[in-house]
Amino acid sequence: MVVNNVHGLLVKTAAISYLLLYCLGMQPAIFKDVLLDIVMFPVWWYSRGLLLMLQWCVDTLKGYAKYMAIAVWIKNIFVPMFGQSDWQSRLISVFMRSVQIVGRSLGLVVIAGGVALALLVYIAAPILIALQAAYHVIGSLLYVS
Amino acid sequence: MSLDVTDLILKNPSADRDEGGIPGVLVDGSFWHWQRAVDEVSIGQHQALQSARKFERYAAGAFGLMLFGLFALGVALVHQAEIITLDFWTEPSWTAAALFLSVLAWLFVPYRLVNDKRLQQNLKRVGLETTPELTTIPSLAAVERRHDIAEAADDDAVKAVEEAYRLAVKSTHAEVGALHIFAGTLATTPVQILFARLGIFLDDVRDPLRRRLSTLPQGTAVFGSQAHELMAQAFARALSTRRSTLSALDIFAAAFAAEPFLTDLFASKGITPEELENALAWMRISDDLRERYFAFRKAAAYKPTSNMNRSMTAVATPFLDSVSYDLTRSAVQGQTGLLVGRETEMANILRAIEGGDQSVVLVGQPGVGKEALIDGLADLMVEELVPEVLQDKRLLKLSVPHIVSAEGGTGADERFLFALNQVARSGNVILVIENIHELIGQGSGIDLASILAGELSRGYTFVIATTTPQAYTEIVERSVIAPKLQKILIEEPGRNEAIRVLEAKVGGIEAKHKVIFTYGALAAAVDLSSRYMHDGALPEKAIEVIKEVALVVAKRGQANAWVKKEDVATLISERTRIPVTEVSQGDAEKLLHLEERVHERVIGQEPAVKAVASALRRARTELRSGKRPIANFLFLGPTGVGKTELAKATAEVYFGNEQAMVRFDMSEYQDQNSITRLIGGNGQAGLMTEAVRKNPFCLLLLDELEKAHPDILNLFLQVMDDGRLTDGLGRTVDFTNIILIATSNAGTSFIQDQVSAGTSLIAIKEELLERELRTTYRPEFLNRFDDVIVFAPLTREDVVAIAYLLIVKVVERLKAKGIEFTVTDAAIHELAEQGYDPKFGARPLRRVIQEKVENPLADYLLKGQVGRRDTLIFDQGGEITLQKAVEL
Repeated sequence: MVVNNVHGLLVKTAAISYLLLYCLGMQPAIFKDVLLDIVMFPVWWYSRGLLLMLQWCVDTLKGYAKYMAIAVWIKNIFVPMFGQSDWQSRLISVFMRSVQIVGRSLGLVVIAGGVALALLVYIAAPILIALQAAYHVIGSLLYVS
Repeated sequence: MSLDVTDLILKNPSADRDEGGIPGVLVDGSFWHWQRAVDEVSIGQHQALQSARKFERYAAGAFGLMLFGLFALGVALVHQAEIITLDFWTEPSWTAAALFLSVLAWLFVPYRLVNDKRLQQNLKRVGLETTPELTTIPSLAAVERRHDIAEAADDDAVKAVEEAYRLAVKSTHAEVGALHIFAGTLATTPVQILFARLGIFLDDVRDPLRRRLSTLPQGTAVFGSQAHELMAQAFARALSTRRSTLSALDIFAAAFAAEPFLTDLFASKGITPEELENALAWMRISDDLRERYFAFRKAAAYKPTSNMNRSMTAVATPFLDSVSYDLTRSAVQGQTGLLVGRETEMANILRAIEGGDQSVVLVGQPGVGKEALIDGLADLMVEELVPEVLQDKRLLKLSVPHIVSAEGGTGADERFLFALNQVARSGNVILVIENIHELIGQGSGIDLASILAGELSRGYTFVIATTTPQAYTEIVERSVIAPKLQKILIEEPGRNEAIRVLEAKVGGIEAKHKVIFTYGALAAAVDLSSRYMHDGALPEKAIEVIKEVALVVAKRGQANAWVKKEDVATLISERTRIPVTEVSQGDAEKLLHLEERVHERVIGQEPAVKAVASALRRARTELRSGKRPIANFLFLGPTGVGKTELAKATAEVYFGNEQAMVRFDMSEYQDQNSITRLIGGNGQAGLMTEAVRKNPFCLLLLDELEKAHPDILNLFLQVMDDGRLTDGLGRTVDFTNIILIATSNAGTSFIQDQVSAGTSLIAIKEELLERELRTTYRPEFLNRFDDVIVFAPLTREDVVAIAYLLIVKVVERLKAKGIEFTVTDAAIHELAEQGYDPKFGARPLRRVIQEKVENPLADYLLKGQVGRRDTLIFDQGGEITLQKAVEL
């Protein structure tokens, strides 16, 4: 219990003294800019940052779509594979192409899922972490006092 | 799009600058100008903000680390195994708080990193839909969208601007001008590298700069409209060269262009604006190559390397694969070098292919870059930046020797047809056939070219072929395949383009041999190989030169040695046997005193000696046209007066030995067939052309020119005019580094008569040219000679002097035996008298000396009465007396 208290005290003093030292060494105008930077952190995360994240999602999806080449396969669906143009080969070819298209689309869906998950984490994580941090800090303060 | 950068810079709008206006660049509907204030306070603030921001990142990172440490400490000391229980996480605790706070702190870092980077504008995102335009607007209200150039400047550029301001403040100048800004850029690394590449020491520039700066008007320094305009110009330059940021080099270039004093300063160091532009391009090229490489690797990930295309419509082509080389695959694997320049040629090729689905043939000298162009095409196909007819295809290089020697079928023609059929079936192959002239006339049954022509008419594929100009006119043009091939001429790149190709290639060579090239070395490689090396073409000749010179310099043993212009010149001198290095001190001495040294062997004939010596001096200081021999002389005069002797003496004195003279006696070439002996024919090299080819810097002596067949005289007409001849093997031999001396006995009697009559040599010469020689030589032939020199017959005094020279030779021969030999003056005069005959010049004298001096001497020596250290004295009347040496 004692160690817990001391430990808590350590965390508090470290945080506050660190911030104080940093702020004291700066010019007021720069201090204002730095403060702004810190305050704008969440704002940025959910405006400009979000836009950038969305851009990344779109780019990644586009890249994988190109890699999977679904459009190429769809365009060529009735073109015989390997140049074999007898009716059996053509049948097999159409079948193969359909299977490939389905498979590749599924792959793309999986990638899209991953991308969506990343986006979700981007949006939700800071809020959750901040909430947890607040809970623990405030809770510990209340507890101590 | 590529803008002509020099155009942009030279159109300096300061002439019509409106005093109150704001200079900037209008592009894509936005107006860019330098907004950031440049004064002591602002600079301080800006720098403070920069460091504060940097500190933010580190502080956040360190803070997060510390908090995480505290979390770990808390877990270790207090909670330990509790952390896996849910209770721990739902109960408020400082340890958990530390963990979450540390994550938040760490998230701060990427936020700042990304934000700071985005604060700096990336110019590549500027669309350049419209041409950047340098303008001055009356007030900021006139434009809607504005951007700050300062946001696009990289760290070095900002440093340059700040240094410029500081310099202006320190020198209390009224305005920050081009000179200050130029001086500011000198403090940045990119500009310092540029200077190193150019081979200029910064100090050499700083002193004149300082002196010039001291002439500027005094006042309180202000970053005014002059500076703003310069920034706008630098920005326009960065845009037009597709940079991603405004760099110190752009500012440097803009300042250079704005201040004529700087142009003069650099000119005094041997750097013209054109050379500077090439060197700046070099700085850009390295960055560009790196970027292109990464973009290319990214695109290559999408291109299949097997013989299957992405839509899997192609067919397996095993035989074809065995007789060909897949260029697109090797491009994907990164084995092709990136093509630099040649944009027009590539556009021509693509246009020809796209226009008519037609086959093309690239016609150019070996070494001019045909293979590089095809590699470049393979790269474009990998990136799919090609017309549709080339997309998603493989580029295969057919190997004719493989087809001829492969297994299968009954002959090369069958195998070839088989390969072409595989091309037809596959549907995704484009063929490259190098040296297509080899195909014509090949094949046991039907000619391979006919087969190809037939298949091409069926239209399922087309071919990209290469050949040389000679092969094209001789073989390809007349063959059956000619109508199918559209001719695209690939010529040697121009000087600047060739230098840029070298700039792109030199990085790899520098890394391999651990040397550093100066710009001067690259320019010299292009200039000197182009001027003096006639085998091969640019750019390959120059590339070989820099590869070899890198090796030579690396062998010297010093790490990171600099390769300079002199190293290149030395290499080329050694290869071509033509002295192209700067004239050294020793050389200069030799050249200035040439006449004296020649006169040690040749008596009299002042005008002739002077003419030849002057020609040599002109040659070595490069004050002559490069398209003709160094000099053409015609020596006229009686026999035995020193015409040939002068040629020999020049060869010995200047070239170092008599053998550097190539001598032909025209009396051996009196009939027409003898031409083949001189220049060759029927697949044989000629004597003269071979001699000059092996030794391009020599003296060519043609004796008794009047005896040569008229066809041979025509040959020399071409040599004297054009400086080259084509030999029997079809090679062009370069005669522009020879001295041609022709001797002739024509008009001898006329000369002798006139000299006896007392006419001056000049009058005699005029008379000869106007009348006497007309019967022997055509007027246009005589016209080609730089100088026709009449050798006067020898006077008695001349003969005496010659007698002295000949006797000295005898003395030396006896000295070698340890015997002293003196001839009295009286004896010499007597001998001269006996040997003098105006009709035969000095030749009789030689006979006389032989008879009257050398024969008796020989007898005497054989009698055995003469020993070492004895002295023989030859007196008048042929008296020889022996003086025994004093006993030791």
